[in-house]
Amino acid sequence: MHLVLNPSHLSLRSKLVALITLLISGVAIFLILFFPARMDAFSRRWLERRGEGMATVLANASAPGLEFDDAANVQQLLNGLSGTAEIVYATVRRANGTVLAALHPERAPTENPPVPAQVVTSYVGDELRVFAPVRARSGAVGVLTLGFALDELKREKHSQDVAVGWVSIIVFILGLGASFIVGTVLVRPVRLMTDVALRIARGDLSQSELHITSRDEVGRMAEAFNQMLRSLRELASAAQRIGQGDLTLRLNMEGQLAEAFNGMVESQRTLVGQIGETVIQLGSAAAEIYAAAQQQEGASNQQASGVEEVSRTMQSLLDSASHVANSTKGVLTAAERTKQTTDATSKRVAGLSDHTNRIAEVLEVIRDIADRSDLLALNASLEATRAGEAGRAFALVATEMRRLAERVTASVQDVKTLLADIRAFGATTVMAADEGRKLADGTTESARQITLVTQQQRSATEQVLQSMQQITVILSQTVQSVQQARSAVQMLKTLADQLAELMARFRVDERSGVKPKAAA
Amino acid sequence: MTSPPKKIVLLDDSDLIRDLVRETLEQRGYVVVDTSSPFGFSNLLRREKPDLALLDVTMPTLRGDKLAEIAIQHGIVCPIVLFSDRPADELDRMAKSVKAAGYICKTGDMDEVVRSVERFLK
Repeated sequence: MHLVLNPSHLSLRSKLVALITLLISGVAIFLILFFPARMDAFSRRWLERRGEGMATVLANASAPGLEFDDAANVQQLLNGLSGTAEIVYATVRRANGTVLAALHPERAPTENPPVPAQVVTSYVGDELRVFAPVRARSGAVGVLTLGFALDELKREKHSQDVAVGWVSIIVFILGLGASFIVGTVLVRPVRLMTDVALRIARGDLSQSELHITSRDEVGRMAEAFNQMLRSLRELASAAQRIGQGDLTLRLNMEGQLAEAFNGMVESQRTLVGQIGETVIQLGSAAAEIYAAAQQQEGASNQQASGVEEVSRTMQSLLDSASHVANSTKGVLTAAERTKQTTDATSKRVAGLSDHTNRIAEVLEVIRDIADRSDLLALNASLEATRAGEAGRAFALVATEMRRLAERVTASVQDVKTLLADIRAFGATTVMAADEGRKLADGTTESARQITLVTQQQRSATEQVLQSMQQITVILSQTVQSVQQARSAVQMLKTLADQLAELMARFRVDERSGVKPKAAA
Repeated sequence: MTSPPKKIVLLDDSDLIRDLVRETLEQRGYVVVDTSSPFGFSNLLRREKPDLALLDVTMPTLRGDKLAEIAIQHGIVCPIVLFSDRPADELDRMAKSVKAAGYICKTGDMDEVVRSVERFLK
């Protein structure tokens, strides 16, 4: 309910129609109320004047009749009024109230009115009563009473009311129609502009300009609207060019919007320029870091292969050490065996010495036997010589026996010499064996020391190898890190290049766009 | 000297050589900006806009020839000169391959270095 009554919700045309309806209603009400009332008052006054005039004329005319009490004369005078339709009745009374003459006395009021000083009118019911004093020259007085019917007047008024009502209704309808038409005519361009404004508000600037040729306010409004549309189109095309990256343009328009727009483009240009500069710097810095990472990667790889080489050398050193240890073990065993052999030899040589001593004893026995045999043979020979011829053969045997004994003695001597030689050889052998033993001892000691040193070397080499393996692990981690860093920087470099490409889409000066990279 | 002093950027990882070359060149009236780090070299050239850049080749983090190549690829127009104790023919090859302005051999003779710098600045 309040929606309907709220004027801000009504359309312009409705408001116009409502306003005009209100105005016309006011005029109609005025016509209906004020005008008939005035006409009524006017016709009453006219009737009163007419009544007064007629009453005055009739009073003056009936004065002689009253003076001479000539009722017939006055009656004749009153009868002259019968042609007048609106006169209901007419009486002339004397001062004492008796009727002198009367027209339609049955309609007249019966009461006796006082004699007024002048003509008096009054309305009683549907009639107008006019009282006029009648003054004769003799001083006698009377009252003339006239009754006018108001029927005619009322009929007139009614017909007038009806006419006014019809006129009002016609005016109302015509006004309504006119206001509707005027409203429509006035509102149409406004509606048109509203539609265009709504489409602009939705972002559609493609519609054509408004063709409103009138030079009134609406026409000027349309012109202003067209100007606004043109400005918006210019702004849109400028925005489009900015969207395509052209930051060199400047709007040739005045006002806050153009200023703000130009300010925005200007600050964007500055910003893009600064970003472009930063991108250039970023690009070369990324390229430098990338190249450094590449170089570091190469160096790390070289280091890794160096460490690998050292590891290999260390491994071969370790192998050599174990080889040396094995060899030393062999040497040690050999030396031990040599010592045992030498000891055995010494023992055997000592045993030989015992044997030679016993041989020497046996030889002494043999020599003794040989000596005794020689002595026995000599004795036998002497005995044979003494026996003569018989003992001759015996003497030969004895000589042979002596020779044999002598050869045994000589042989014993030879064996003795041989024994002495053997003894001497045995001593030399013992000495040599002793020396050999000592040498074997030295070899054993040396071999032990070599084993010790080799073990130390081996553990040291193992430690070095272990360290090298750790270094290899660390280096491979380093290489990995450097590789990761390099690929990260590569990504950074790619991003910087992409950014530079993107930045090249912007034009910040008249000549060219942002050129962050000279080389492709 | 009516014209403003020429500016030279020097990159070398050796403090000794940097100090020596800087002092020598400053005595001859040049403005020398020196640095030991190869990182940010291109941006240093971009910022300082020198008339000449002397660039050591053998550096542990990044080789000078590679650095020169990066700088030239990234639009540095300032002449970059390789400054190293490597053999002259190797330096010549390097300078040509990275499109550097040339090379100067590091020798004990600082006068020779200055003469070479003057030649590149002409």
